[in-house]
Formats: sequence, C-alpha cells, structure tokens
Amino acid sequence: MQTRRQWLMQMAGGAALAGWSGVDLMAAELPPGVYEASRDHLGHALAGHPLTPGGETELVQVRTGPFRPAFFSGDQYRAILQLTGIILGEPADSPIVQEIAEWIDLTVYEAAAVRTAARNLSPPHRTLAVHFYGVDEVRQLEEFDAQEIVHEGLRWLDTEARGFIALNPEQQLTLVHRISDSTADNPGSRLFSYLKTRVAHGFYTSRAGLDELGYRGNAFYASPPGCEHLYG
Amino acid sequence: MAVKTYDVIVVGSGASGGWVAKQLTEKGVEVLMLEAGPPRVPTRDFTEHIWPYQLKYRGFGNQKALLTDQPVQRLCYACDDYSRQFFVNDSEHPYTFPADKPFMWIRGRQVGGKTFCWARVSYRYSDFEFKAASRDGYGQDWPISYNELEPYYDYVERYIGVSGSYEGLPQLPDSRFLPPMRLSCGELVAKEIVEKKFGWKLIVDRSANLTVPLNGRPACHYCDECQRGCFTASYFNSPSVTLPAAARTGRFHLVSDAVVSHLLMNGEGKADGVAYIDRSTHAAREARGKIVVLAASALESTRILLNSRSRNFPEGVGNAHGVLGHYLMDHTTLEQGGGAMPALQSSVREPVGRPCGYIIPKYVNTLGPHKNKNFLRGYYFAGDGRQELYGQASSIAGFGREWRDKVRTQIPYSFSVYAQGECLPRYENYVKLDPEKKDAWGIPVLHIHASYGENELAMEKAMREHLGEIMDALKLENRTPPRNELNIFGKNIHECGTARMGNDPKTSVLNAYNQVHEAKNVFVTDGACFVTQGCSEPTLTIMAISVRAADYIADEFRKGNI
Repeated sequence: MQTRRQWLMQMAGGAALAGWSGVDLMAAELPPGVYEASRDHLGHALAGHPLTPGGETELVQVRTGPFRPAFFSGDQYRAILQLTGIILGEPADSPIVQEIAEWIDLTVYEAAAVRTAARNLSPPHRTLAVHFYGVDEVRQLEEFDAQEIVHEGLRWLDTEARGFIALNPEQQLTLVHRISDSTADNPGSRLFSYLKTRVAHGFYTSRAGLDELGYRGNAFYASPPGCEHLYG
Repeated sequence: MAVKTYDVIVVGSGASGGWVAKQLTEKGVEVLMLEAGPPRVPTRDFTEHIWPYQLKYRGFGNQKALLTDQPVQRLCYACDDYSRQFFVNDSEHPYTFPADKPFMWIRGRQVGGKTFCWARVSYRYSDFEFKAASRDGYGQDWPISYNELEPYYDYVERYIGVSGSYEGLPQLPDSRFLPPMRLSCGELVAKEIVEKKFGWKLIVDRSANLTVPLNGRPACHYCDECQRGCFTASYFNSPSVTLPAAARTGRFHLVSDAVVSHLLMNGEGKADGVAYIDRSTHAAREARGKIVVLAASALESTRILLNSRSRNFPEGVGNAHGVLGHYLMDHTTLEQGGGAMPALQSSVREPVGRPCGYIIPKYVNTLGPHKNKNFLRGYYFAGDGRQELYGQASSIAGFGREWRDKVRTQIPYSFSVYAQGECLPRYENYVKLDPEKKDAWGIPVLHIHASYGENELAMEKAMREHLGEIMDALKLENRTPPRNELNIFGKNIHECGTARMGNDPKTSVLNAYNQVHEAKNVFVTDGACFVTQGCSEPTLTIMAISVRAADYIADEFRKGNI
C-alpha cells in the first residue's frame, strides 16, 4: 500500500507516460456535469478538503461551543460516557469516548423519528420492504424503541446501584460485568447489548478504530489487491 | 426568435445516450442532449475518499430521510450516506404496481444517469442470447447476431476499458481485455475446489475498471468505493468517458434538468422534437430535432413512447400492435448464501480495495455436459471472499481492551455466493401508464406488472441445489442459507425489454437498428430494446448496440434517408 502522497507524486511524475496529459486546463470548456480525470479533483480529496458546499452529503458539523446532548439529561449522558468508556476500555473523558457518545446521543434522539417514518411507510413501500428484508426486520424497524431501552436501562442501573455515576470505577465495572453478555432478560442487559453494538459501530468507524483494525481500504494501490500469499 | 432544430435530440445521458452522442458528434452530427437530472460536481458530490467518521451518520445513513424520501431507493445497497445523492427522490418519482407483484425500481437522474453507481460488471452476450429462440424454441431471436455485434463490442471495450481474463467460453465470449484483477485468498481456495469437484470455471469478474491507464484516464487506485464517484475516471461512467469526447467536437449541446414528457409528432408520423419540463421551475418547453433518440433507461424510454399519444398514435408511438411495454425482464437472483472459511481466519489484515469479486460462469444448458431439462436457459454464480472488517465485534463476548484485542486479532473470513439467472421475456410482464397517478412534473407514471414464471421458479430450484453443493464442497461454517425466495423483480437494476427489437412490426417495436418501425426518425437505444437477457449484466451490450445504432443514424442522416 502506498501513502496518498506517494501515489499523488507517482501520478504527477508518470502522467506523460500514462497518457494522462493533465486535462485540467481544458476542464472549463466542458458543460456542467461533464468532467475528466483531474489531478485537481484528486488533490482536493487528498488534501483533506472533504467536499465543497452545496452538496447533499451530510457531514459532521464542526462544533463551536460545548456539546449539549439532544436526547440525554446531564446525568444520563454522564452515565453513557462512563458506560461507553467501560465498553471501550478507555477513560470516559477521552476524545474517542466523547466522539462515540455524541453519536449515540444523535442516534437515540433520532430513533423515535425513524420509527415513526418506518410506521408511516405507504402500503406499497412497506410491501417492498417486507419482500426485501423479510417481515421480521420490518417489524423490528417499526417496533424497536431505542429510547425506551436506554431510559429503562439507565433507570435500572440507578436502582441497582443507587446512582450509577456516583459509583467508583471498580463498583461500576462489577455492575457492568453483571449485565454484559447476560442471558438474563432485564433492562440492564438490554441496555448493555444495545450500547455494545452502538459502541462497536461508532468505534470501528472512527479513525482510531479503523487504525486499530489495521484497515487497508480507502487506500491507493498501484496494482489490484488480491491474495497476498499467491500474488505477493 | 426561430426555434433551433438540431440534427438529433438524445434523451438521457447514461451509458447509452453517452455513446450515441459521442458517435454522432464525431461523425459531424449536431446533438442536443436532454437530461432529466442535474449536473454532478466531483468536488461537491463525489465521496469516494470520505471516511465514515467525516459523516454525520458514520455511514449508517440518515434513516429518517431515507425512509421518508427514498423508501424505494434505500433498498439499493449503494443508496447510503455516501451516495444517496445519485438516486431519485421517490416522492417526486412515484410508480405503481399490484399489491401482489412488488417491483423495485432504482433510478438515477443526473448527467451520467446510473453510470456513477453501476456495478461495472461487463460481459458480452453470445448467440446463446441473440439466437436463444432458435436453440430452444422459446420466444424470438434478436434481429442481430453475435457476429454482427462483435466489432461494436471490440470498439466499446477498447475505449472504455474492461479488465478480465481470457477463458474461451462460448457462452461468455472474451472481451478485448485489459489485464485482469486478482482473486482473493478465499476465492483461490474456492477456485481449486469448484473446478476440480464440479468442473465449472471460477474466474475473476470482468469489470469496466482500468487496470492500466487508457485513453488519457489513469488506472484504478483501488479505493473500493466506485459507487461514490471517481475523481480519476478510472471506471466507465459517461460524464468522464463518452460525454467529454462528444463535448470536444463542438457539436454537443447539453441541457440538464430537462424532464422529457413526450415526443412531438407531426401529421406525417414523424417526430419534430420533444416536449419537456424544467425540473426546477416546472416550465413547459419544447426542443426541435430531425431525429429523436430515446436513451433514458428501459422503462423511462418506454414511458415517453407510451405518453406520446396523438390522433395517429392513440396508444403511444410504437404501439400500433400492443407490444410496447411488454416483455419486461430483470434477472432473478438467489442471494445471501455464504459462510465462514475457518482455515483463513487470521490476525493479519489483508488489503481492501478490489472493485470486483468472482464469477462461476453459466455452465448449464450450454455446450458443456451439464443439461437440465426442467427449465430453459441458465444462471451463473458469483460473490466474493473477504475478511470481515468488524462484523464479528458484537458477537465476541466481553468488553474493554480484551474484547477489542479479540476483534482485532480474530478476523473471520467470509465467503459469499449467489446465483443470477435468466428471466424469460413474457408478454404478461409489462408496464403501462397509470391512469391516475402523475409525477412531480405532472407526467403520468408507470404501472409495472411483473412476476416470475414457472421457468424462473424451476431454475431457482436448481440454483438452490447447486448453491448448497458449493457451500458443502467449501465446508463453509456458520452458514447463511440463501433466501427463501427469489429477489424482488427489479432489484437487480437490469430491467430490460418493453420496446423490443425484431424484424416483424407486429411483434416488435424496433427494427434491427433500434428504429421504431412505425416512426422512422425515432430510435430507442437503451435496455428497452432487448429481446432476451441471458443471465449476464446488460450494460456492455447496451453500449455496443448504441454505437451500432448511432453509426446507422449518422449514415442514414448523411444520405438523407431519415
């Protein structure tokens, strides 16, 4: 695998050889919507400028002030931070835990609207969904109540612990052990199961998580990747 | 001010329209292209190098918006956080179907159509398709043969670039290939077992991705996310391959956001142009041309013909014999088969980025020994072998650093296999104009009536049986069995037919050059013209046929015959 910089340098150096003549200068002549392979475009992506304004892609917005949860109360959010930290094995005040907890807040906040949208699918659109996913998955989307799971789970934790966020780390860990991968069907284990999936999704889509996995995609290869045992 | 009359109006800017425009303009013909959608801007709309953590929903999608605005399109794997801009808003683009015949219509309206997010799989058809009726007695032959289309395949492939391996299979003719991509570890294991045990070939996909630079376009850099756009134009899409060539001639005029509603037919049974509606302002407009080429996608082109009703054409243009709209096809697939290859579980990450998988080409009812008399035609198997990224995380017990270490070091290896089969062209599968419903621009929408017949269901049985045998032979663990039923009609986005070619005007809409039998200056060059579909992806054949039709149009136009 090459770094983006190496690849770009190679592209620039090999442009003449490759028959890639640097058509950028002529790009203006093309009608809107028509484009040619462009070093400018690639450079734009490589330089970390994600997207120019006006598109439909929803990007993470840079926050100016402190984070204010949309769904959780202050104490609830502190509990979510602590639980996320325990699941990840990272301090609750670390940036990666905050990044994931913020995303969980967004997800749980929007869960009610998602459920409503699923329930409001027109009959033909619901028919398509049932044939596509199967009826169980469609019902799950219509009925799954993430807000209830986190509310009841956090309430259960507080009851069990007489205030989860006030426990010391060891006590918290003991309680989390009780609900982790538990076969018992109680609000605490339902919360854990939900959060563990969310944390996995959040962490392994983060820069740190992808680095930890050693993810080798969104990369620049000079030849097509394949079985390294055979092709080297 | 006099309205300008163009030589040719091309409706649609995707795989077909792009080729028609390139060929015509390069032969000196002036073209006006009308595209229903907006232009896309690479630096604004391409997300190929965006990371999930840069997205508000981290790649899981704005589910509320998807359910509300794109309840159909969201079912396509590519309609997600990164790429949903390439798919239509379903509330603006409705269609109808009977409650017991669900049809999934995936649509992309923009300069380039669906070529931004197509899967790039490129296989030639053979006379197993073009002359299928002569072989097994079902349906009709195409009015063209493989030999007639072969030079056009050559020509298209040399220009767009198709990577693949030479195999010499009569049922899947070789293209003019660029070097092939590579099989993954799991696919190599499967190749050895499948070829030895069953005698079926297992080869790497043939794909319109450049493995070497071609015609000014650099080779693919294998970032693996083609459906998000491509800054380096390293896979075929019309806005970066065929349309620039057309634009360079100075004879190409592109109007985007032009939603064509119908042909403007004169008293002599010829088209004077088309009527369209401005997508944003909803203003009604007209464009004038000596010839009209519809390349708006199979169902959209047919919809325009059906909606072109006048005194001379009471049921639409090309519909004097009630054939228009009929013989709709889309491939059947039996999906979700697969499982784990425990021998390939590893703690070492493999590279990710190959924009293709493997294919076991059709082996049944070909020249080979394997025949099945329970059904006509055949199917292929395909899929891929790859490491899980983190799909295993939730099922690994525990939490904390210990859990993360396991996720990092216990990387399962997954192998998927699905079958894709031919759907016979049947009169009973059709589209017509819905008598009541209209789209956002007041144009009647399609009512789509399609379901699988006995042949597809008999083939499903064979697919299921052999798919199980493959999974057994590979000793896959933690298996996912294939789905209980075939995919929804339309799901494969290979919809073809509804304005088929043929020599007999009573049983076909178009002649051998894609010309409407009953309106000589109207052509349809997209998948609507297909007579049969085989089990292979249609786009490469659409492109070859479009070039052939465009060459014919240019010649006839020059001679003054049209």
